[in-house]
Amino acid sequence: MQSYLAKRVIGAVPLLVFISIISFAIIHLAPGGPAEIYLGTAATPQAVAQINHSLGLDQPIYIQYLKWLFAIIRGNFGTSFANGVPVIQDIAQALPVTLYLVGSAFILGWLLGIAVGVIEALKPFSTLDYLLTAVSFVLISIPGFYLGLLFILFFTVYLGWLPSLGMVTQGVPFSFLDLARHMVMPVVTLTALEFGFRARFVRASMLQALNEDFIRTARAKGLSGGIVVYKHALRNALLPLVTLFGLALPGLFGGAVLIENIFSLPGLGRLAVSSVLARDYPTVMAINTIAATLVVLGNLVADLMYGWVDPRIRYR
Amino acid sequence: MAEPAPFFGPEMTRRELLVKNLPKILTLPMGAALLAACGQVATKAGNATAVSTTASAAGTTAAAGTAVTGGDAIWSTYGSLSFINPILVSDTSTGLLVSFLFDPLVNFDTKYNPIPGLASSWETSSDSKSWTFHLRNDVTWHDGTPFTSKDVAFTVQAILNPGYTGQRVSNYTQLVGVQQYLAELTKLQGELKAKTLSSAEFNTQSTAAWQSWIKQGAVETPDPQTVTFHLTSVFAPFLTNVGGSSPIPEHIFKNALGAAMPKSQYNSQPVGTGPFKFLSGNTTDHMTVGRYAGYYSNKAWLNQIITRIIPQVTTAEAALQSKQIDYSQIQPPDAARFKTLPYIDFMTSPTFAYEYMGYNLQHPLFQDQNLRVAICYAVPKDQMVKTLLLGYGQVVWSHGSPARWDYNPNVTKYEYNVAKAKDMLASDGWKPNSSGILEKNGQPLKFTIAVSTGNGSPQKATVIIQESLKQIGMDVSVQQFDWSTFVNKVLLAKNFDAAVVGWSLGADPDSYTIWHSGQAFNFVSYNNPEVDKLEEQGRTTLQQSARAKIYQQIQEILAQQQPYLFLYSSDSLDGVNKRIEGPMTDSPRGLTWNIDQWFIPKPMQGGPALVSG
Repeated sequence: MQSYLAKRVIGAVPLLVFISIISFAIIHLAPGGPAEIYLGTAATPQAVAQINHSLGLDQPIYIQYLKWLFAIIRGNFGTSFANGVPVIQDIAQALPVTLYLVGSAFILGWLLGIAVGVIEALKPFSTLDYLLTAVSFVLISIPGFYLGLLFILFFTVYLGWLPSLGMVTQGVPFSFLDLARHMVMPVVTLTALEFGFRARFVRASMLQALNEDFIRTARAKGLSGGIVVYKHALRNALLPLVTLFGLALPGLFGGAVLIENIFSLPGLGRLAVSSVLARDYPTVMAINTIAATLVVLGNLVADLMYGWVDPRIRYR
Repeated sequence: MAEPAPFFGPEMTRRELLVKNLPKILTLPMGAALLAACGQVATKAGNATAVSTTASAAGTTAAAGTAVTGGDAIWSTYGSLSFINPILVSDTSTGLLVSFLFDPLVNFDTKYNPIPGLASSWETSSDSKSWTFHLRNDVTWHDGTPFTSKDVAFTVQAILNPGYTGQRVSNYTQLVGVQQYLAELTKLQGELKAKTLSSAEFNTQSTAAWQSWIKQGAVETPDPQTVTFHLTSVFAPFLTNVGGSSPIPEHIFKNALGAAMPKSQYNSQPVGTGPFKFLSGNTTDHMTVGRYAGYYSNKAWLNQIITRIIPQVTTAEAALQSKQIDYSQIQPPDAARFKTLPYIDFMTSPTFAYEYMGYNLQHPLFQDQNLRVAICYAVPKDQMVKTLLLGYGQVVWSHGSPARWDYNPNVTKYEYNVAKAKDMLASDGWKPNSSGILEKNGQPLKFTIAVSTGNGSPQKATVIIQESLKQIGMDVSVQQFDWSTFVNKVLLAKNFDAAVVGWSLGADPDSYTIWHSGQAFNFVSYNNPEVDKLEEQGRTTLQQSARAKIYQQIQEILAQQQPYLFLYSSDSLDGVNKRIEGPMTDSPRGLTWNIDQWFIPKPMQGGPALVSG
């Protein structure tokens, strides 16, 4: 197990380096550098040269990359081109917001998805199944930004129940109730985006498991319905879902970019958008590195979970 | 798995965010242009004095209508903040914060009349080439350090430092010795690029050049309350461009010049001279400024201004409507809704920005003035204002803004008349060929309009132009470019037939860099010796009425000759929660220019939700 883990972690390093090379190349290839964007029409060749020189952008790109890489290894993410603040400081403020949002939506999306999927699978083609299926498809089809705006329209503008801005009310002491009130709509929106897809998947997987011979055997030997469903069927049905578990993270991060912009949350997604627009290379690269690491980690956790849900799998 | 993101397409670069409601526009690289980018002229009814007569809905108490201290105004802006530093700022959102925190030497009212700021008075020398500003002696920086003429001189030195990373150098090129110094700098940069100079040598030599410029004494500080600028010629825009700019503190930035300045922590925790001082916040969520007790003039009434950064205008509008914030800009399609909300003051104002289609006058087709006039006859500008701006804007017939003092309302107008356009083209020898395209000497009337990518009014205007010109037999195609490519590789490189874009003009009418032959922003290659002469006169004439005549003459010539197809100028739309009281005028100067005089009546100081209605 330990040696497997070590192998996987070491194997992830070249993958991360490769991802960083690709993203470094892409952001540097994007038209217009930070100097041009910042100076706008004042971008005379002299002024651009001056800024590029002071930012070190007049060096060959591979030198810039290597400098960046060695700085990262030493834990130095550099200074933002857009506001002069150390990148790590901006990230430290933004990352918890995103983890909170994505984490809540991830857990809620899975729990709800499994629950609804199991309910559907137990009574397939019933009215309830059709109803929940319809709900799932509607949620899969609605774009996240649209759902978010609809929520704001109903719960903020029409009903006045929930705030639509940021994490907390500014200018009042912090309270968990206030935080919760602010996070309800973003988390529900992101959960809704995830949940429909999960529910469909669980339903299919569960239906397949329920039709297996060992379920008939279990029922035949007189086990209670609950044990059959949860211990025998669900555990087997979850196996293919573990793959999905790892793959879901990038999607959630993508969704968070939208949700954070709609609800004005100061998270990683918004930082990513504004830093790409400003060609703030250090911030863009730091976010890419962190997101890539989290996704690679997510996949690793997913692989380890195979062993937990399927005792037949052993890691060597 | 991420959905397509229609909101933050390529249209939302920091550059374009400079002008609200005008996602695609160029801004002049002058300090004054930024001021213009923030704002608008329409007065909030019955609210012209500090003692407001606006009935406060919740305020049946005596407090309503009389200025009182207290309360937090919750403002909103859409872009993440960058350097909160008057000499580095380049976007509207950060500009808003800078205006709360820093005062300029000379301020301007809503009509752009100069009024005292940090300087209580100013005068020019007898030859009008030197400007002397007399500074107040009671101004302190927010950390308590006295503000002196040394700070003003330091600010100019910081801008001209060889490592300076901002965009304000062009405001200072008229100072004695600066042209020569900049030429020297360009030479050194060339050597650095050609590798005949090492990076270290470049740094030493350019710093030496900078120091020897300082020694020439173009900016003199005979005593702590006096600063004199020596120019090489009479230069009328000086008062707006330099007098109107805000100094930075020498004691804070003296060891953070050039390339080190952007890395200073004081760009995110600024120390200014304004009515409000920095309290807390960050660059992506909110920033809070509070009343500065040591302010030299009348202290502000508001306890704090919390500026929330809300990237989507739709979301900011919803937050204003649901009383979570006190201010949002309004998009024209939502104007009707906000007009009817009883607790919102809905205000509009013209802006100093306008959109146009520039012709590449080196293109053989567009050297023909008759063709340009015919195009003007063929394009329905009224329809653009009606359908694209929903009536929130004006048709423009020449360069300039209807809201500025140099505006000439009586210029030649080639008003929409398709029949006349067709006649003009026919009498010029353009005849339809077999496929209906106009032709002369075997050459079809064919060209491409360049425009930046996006889905805003310039792109829609381009489609209207294309369709209108097709109706009269022109073969017009459209090509889109991302903003940065569009500006640098298309416009400034003069690599286009025609291009639809906009100007956000400054408070000063000087348009030398746009219309004088051979200037950087004259990318249409307009060359008229008469206009060259007038532009030169405009810069060296100090009296406003005489200057206005000069610029009105330029506007008439441009309206006749049509180097641009002038299109329209859009309005800015603002909504403010009625609990905010005080003199509030929506003008191109910006709504918040006198926010230090605003107040919130006691019963509503708890938050925007306390307003009734």
